[in-house]
Amino acid sequence: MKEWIFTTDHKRIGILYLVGSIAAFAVAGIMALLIRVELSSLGPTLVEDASQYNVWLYFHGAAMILAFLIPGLTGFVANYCIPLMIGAHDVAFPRINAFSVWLFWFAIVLALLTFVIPDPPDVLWTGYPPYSVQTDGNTAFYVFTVHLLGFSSILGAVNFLCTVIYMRAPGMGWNQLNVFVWTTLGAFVIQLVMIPVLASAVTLLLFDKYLGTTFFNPENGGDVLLYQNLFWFYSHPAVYVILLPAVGIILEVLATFARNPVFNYKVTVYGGIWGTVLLGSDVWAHHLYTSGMVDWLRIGMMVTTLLISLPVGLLTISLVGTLYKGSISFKTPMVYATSTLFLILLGGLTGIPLAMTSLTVHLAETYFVMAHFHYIMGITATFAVFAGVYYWFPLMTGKMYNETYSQIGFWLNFIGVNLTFWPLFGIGIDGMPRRYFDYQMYPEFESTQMLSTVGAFIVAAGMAITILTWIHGAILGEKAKPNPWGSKSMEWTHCEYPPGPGNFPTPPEVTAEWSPYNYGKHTAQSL
Amino acid sequence: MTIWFRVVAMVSAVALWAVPAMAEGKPLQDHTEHWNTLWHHVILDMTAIAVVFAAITIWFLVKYKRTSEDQEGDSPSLSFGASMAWAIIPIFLFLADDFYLAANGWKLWNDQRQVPENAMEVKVTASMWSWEYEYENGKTSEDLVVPVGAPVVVRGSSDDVVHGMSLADFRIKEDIMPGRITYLWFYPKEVGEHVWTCTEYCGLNHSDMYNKVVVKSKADFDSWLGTKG
Amino acid sequence: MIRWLLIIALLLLSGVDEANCTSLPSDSQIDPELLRVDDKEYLGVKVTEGSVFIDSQGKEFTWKDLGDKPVILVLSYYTCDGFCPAFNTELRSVLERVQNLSRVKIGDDFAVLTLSFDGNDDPESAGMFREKLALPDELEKDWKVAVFKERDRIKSFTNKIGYKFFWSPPDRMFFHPNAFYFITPERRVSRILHNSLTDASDMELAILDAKFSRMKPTEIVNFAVSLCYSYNYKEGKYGLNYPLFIAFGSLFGGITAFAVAANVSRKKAEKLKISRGKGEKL
Repeated sequence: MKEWIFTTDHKRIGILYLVGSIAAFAVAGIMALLIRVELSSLGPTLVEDASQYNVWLYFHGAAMILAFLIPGLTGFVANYCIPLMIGAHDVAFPRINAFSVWLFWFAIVLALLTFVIPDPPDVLWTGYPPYSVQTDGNTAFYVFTVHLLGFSSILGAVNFLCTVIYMRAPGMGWNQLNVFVWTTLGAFVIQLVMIPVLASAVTLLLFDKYLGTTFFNPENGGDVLLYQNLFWFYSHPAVYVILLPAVGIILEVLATFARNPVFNYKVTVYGGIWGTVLLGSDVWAHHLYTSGMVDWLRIGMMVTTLLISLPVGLLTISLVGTLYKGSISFKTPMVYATSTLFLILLGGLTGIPLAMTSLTVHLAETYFVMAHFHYIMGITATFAVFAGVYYWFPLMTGKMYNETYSQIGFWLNFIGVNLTFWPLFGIGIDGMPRRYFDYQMYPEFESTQMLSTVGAFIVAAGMAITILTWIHGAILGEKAKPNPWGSKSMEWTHCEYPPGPGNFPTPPEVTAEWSPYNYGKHTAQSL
Repeated sequence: MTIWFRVVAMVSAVALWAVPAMAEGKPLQDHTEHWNTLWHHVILDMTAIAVVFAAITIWFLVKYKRTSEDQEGDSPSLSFGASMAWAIIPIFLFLADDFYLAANGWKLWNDQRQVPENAMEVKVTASMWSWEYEYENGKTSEDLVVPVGAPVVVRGSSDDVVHGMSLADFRIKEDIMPGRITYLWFYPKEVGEHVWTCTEYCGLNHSDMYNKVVVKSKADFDSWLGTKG
Repeated sequence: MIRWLLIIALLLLSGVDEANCTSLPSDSQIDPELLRVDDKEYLGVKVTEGSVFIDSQGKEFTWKDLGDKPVILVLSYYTCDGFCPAFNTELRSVLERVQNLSRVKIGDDFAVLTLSFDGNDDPESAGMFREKLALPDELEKDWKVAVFKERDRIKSFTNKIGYKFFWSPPDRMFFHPNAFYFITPERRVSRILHNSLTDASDMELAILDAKFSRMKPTEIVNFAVSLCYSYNYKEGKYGLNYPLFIAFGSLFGGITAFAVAANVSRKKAEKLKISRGKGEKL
């Protein structure tokens, strides 16, 4: 116990991130189930009115994004893998790293207090004023949760940028890095630059509510829309903070299980990943297409938003291209990774009409948007995290999970999510608004809502089986063979199982030909 | 010679298309119809891309299944030219699609935002959790009642928090908030009823903040408007 | 209501002797709140319908003839010998200062329309009023002083934009609000400023607001300027939009933290390299 609490070892910190984010995922997932049950029939189903329901909505959104996806991808995977992938004995500032994981845990505790305090926050994860200022709900809990997670993320970003820049193994050039390392760098640059903006915006919200300032009160010279702009200035790029590492994990898994290098490595890195980072910071206003902003600004952001298809298109080509002439085996991590190839298509392409201002004028704030971002951000990224957990499971635990049950879990998850969200596209186009407790004006949507709820329960079963396979595998699993997947990446080739303190028995040095993708006849030069 | 002929023909075709479009005083554009048309184009576009990518992915997954345990991948090394081609060609394809979509989206956007000169003005006030519509003669109503066959512009602000005006049947939506005036317009083509909903989260009764949009014949509307209510 | 009118009338009677023709009467004479246009009620209202005006030279014109630009609308009456000339003179001097700030130019960016709400005014009295205004050359061309062509339209026009006025027989003058209406190129009310001593920068920002939807890419500076300020309804003027500056400042927070940390890491890495070179154990 003590060696976990006071640990400064990046691997243990990574696992602490994993446990914390899976805990947040579980609770937020239960919220999703409650929401789905409530919506399964017309009129009040579970609770009498929306007061409780709105708290579920808040918790589901805030916890899934801020406490599961971002920490799961940039906390768990980055912590565990980056030092191992670049041949470093730890991160640049191990104690700061430990501090940031405990900040994260503290934030989760604070978020969970939502269910205990008398007036829980009901401001959704967006916290738009003036509602968040006028509500009786405790907006302060929302703000402090954002503060803690934001601070934790900034510390993480500083730490990992320094680690990758200064602590790569001797001889390791920039073009010999794992793609996952690159995607995480991109994500951390976004975190570093943009989180302070969100933090300052929610702080002003706090001042408005509790200290009587009027930063966002139009009556006294404030601007309602400015908050929305500041919020999405960070929170849209936050989508890429999630998407990029997710694509990174998927590419690692695809490369390993197809035994192929990442397709068109340099274009993927410098065009796909950094293109996304650059363009991704100029598109936030597409969240404000119907907000009443001046018309020509909305049309300007349509063009930048459509242009996001260029880097994301390059990433998709590289995902598919990695399979070409590969040697593909369908172990659980690979099944998750391949399924995301289809989920990304669905989630990404439904983003096209949402990039177009004039189509969004109808689609905004409907189930169409909701289904879209659940596909691209919720499901794709979650499946990527799961692919990552399964993929690095033998490394982390030294043991093997149960393949059969894991595959069953996958199929339940995959069928379940599609059953949950496919139908919602349809009623979204017909006008079903999101964040509704009830839908008396659209009684004809009841059967579709019910179908979606059934889907949600299939997912719940799948998730339960999945998490059980991890717990079972970690405790009772068979001993794993070294490098069971036959990967060429450094965390598999140079470490013990599981890696001990200091990571590498002998500090690795690499040659100019080495790359994490030296499959077949490939070398670093042919990437 | 033939090339020049083609260029001239192309340019004049574009001009013939563009000049009337740019001319002022254009007839009423029913943006709802336009939305539906554009939506179908975009669905086709999306489906085409999805089918291409999904088909290739499935083909690879089937064809390159591992056959023996120690088999490794056999992907070719890309030459510099090939790797650039794999970047530049897709970029231009995507770019072309983007600009096609942007141009069409922009055209529709202009229709959605340029209120016809003869549009009937209705003032709307949103508050937690109801809507109030006020007509030019001072009559107020809780449902939006409009005459058939004439464009209507609804304009106003909110008394408290941000709400959203949404008319799903007319494919139009705009937020409404304190301190700013926002508007939307639509063209009721037929007599009937539609739903007006709030689409920006506003607390406890957010989902109860809806009302009817009643499209009446001109005569019915006039007699309705005449009675004080 | 009647009680209030009496109070006002009494207050005014007590002050009417001191009313100075060249300077603005002091605030104590009228309760400004009473004649204030409730701007939230009337923002966004369309002003065009069927209005034809006649300018001081007897020429007819409509809103369309004022061009595709914002208009500052001032309602006055031309036989007024106190308030209205003073108010328009005030506008003149504010606009002169706005011209000097040279962010927006009359003619290019906006026009001014002084309009009489008094049915007895005619182009002639408008002309005399305009003459007294002594407009400088730069303002002269795009500042129209006009009357309604059809007098019976006045009332519906002023009602529509919330402008309430009444004739006070004992004072032989109109009581009316002192407000600048900012009309967008689409001919809707975008802002109503009440302060008779309007600040030049407030005037400029209100013009930019009215023009906001028509700004061209070349007006990026104006666009940025108008983003930096937001309107305070309670005080009736513009103020800095503080959150924007705070957020902009915070952009550098993370980058600074990274710069410090990178410096430390670099030194560490150099030390490590040296110790490796000496063959020491890590």
